[in-house]
Amino acid sequence: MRETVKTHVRTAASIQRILWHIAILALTVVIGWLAAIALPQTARQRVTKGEKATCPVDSPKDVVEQLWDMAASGQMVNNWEPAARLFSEPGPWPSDRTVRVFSDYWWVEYFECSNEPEAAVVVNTHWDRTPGVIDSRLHFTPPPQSSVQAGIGYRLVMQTRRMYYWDADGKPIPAKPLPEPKRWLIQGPPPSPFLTVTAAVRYVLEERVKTTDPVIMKNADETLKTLLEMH
Amino acid sequence: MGDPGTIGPSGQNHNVKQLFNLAAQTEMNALNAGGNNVIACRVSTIDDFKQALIGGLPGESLTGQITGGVYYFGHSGEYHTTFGPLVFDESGVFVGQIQAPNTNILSTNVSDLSLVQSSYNNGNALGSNAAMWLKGCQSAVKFGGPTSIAQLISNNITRGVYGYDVGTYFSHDTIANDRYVNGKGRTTSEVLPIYMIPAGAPHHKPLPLACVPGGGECAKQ
Repeated sequence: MRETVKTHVRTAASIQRILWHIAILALTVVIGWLAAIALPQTARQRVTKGEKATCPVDSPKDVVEQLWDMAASGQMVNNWEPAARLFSEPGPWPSDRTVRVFSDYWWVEYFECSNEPEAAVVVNTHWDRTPGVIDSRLHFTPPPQSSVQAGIGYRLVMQTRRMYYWDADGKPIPAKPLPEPKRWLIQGPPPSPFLTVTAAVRYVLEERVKTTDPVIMKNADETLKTLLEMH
Repeated sequence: MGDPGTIGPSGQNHNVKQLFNLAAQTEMNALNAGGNNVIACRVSTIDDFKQALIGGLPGESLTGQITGGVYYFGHSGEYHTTFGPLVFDESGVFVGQIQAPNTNILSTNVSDLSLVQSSYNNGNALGSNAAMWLKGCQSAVKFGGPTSIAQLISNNITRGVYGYDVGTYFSHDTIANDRYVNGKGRTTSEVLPIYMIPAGAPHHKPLPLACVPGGGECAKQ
């Protein structure tokens, strides 16, 4: 009888523990869900820390415009280093060799500075929620059609530029700060390379000339046809 | 009227060419026929939009207060911003397509329109009975943002604003006679009359939501 009571007590305690775990798990899910809702709303409203301040003359806006000018001129794929050096954690071109394609119509929609000093810049990429992608075999995948206008936000910080190097095996060595004054840099590592439509046409033409692979040449022809319809 | 629009990397062409202008012309003809004085303006930025309301656009012949109302024919809808892993969605009025800041009206710059409140003899450039109609897509939808752009405009101009919570399309028929649900797969010739019609079942088209200044959210009429 005593054994049976003990067993029942143990079973009840186990059930209680399981219920507690379920309750904690449910609470975690709810908190995570609430955070996911709350964070996006506050991200744009106040991206920078500290008090809002007037942007200095060498505006962080100029840094982001420089990046996008490189995308519009095609320099980003022809000469990656200057683009990578606009970021606080520069690095080599990602090995997958994909290139994202945005509309020719882009502009800095909004920017703000704070006294931290930090800054936020939003580039309007015009129509479509996401960019198209040209893969390493020059095949273009357009994004889903949408009536959404999109923007990409950049957070900038005042830092010393860092240079990265490669060892003899071609592996990148951790970046070191350069002996120069601090400047506005886009926080984090560079994204995968991107171009605007016009620059992408030139990129595909140039890459097509370099190859003898008939599949890549066929992909390039189809990609060019698609891109030329976007003017 | 806003700018006609461009094409995105998906290949979807948002260039409506003359259709915004012709929709505005249709509205203008109807208002003129009713004895109203109407001035039409092309706007490409929030500053143009504001100047049009206060009579400051070059060549605009507005000299007094707007006593009837304001109609905007142009792009509007969802604006999606990514900040690294964070995303933010809101509604916006996509006035222009020139490559310059403040081409859109968004939550970040809508307060520029508050100048309207004091620009006519220190009073509102829009008369107390005037309202604004946003003839574009989904300006009264929040899209996860704190409030819709139609409501924010209403708060800033302190006048009522009407905006749709659905998409819109062009038709040669009036809202009462149009036989389609939406504009998908159809092209509309550039011939008057042109109406901007909200998406919805024929003969049961939704009314625009009404946004009242001072808070709250746009509501069904």
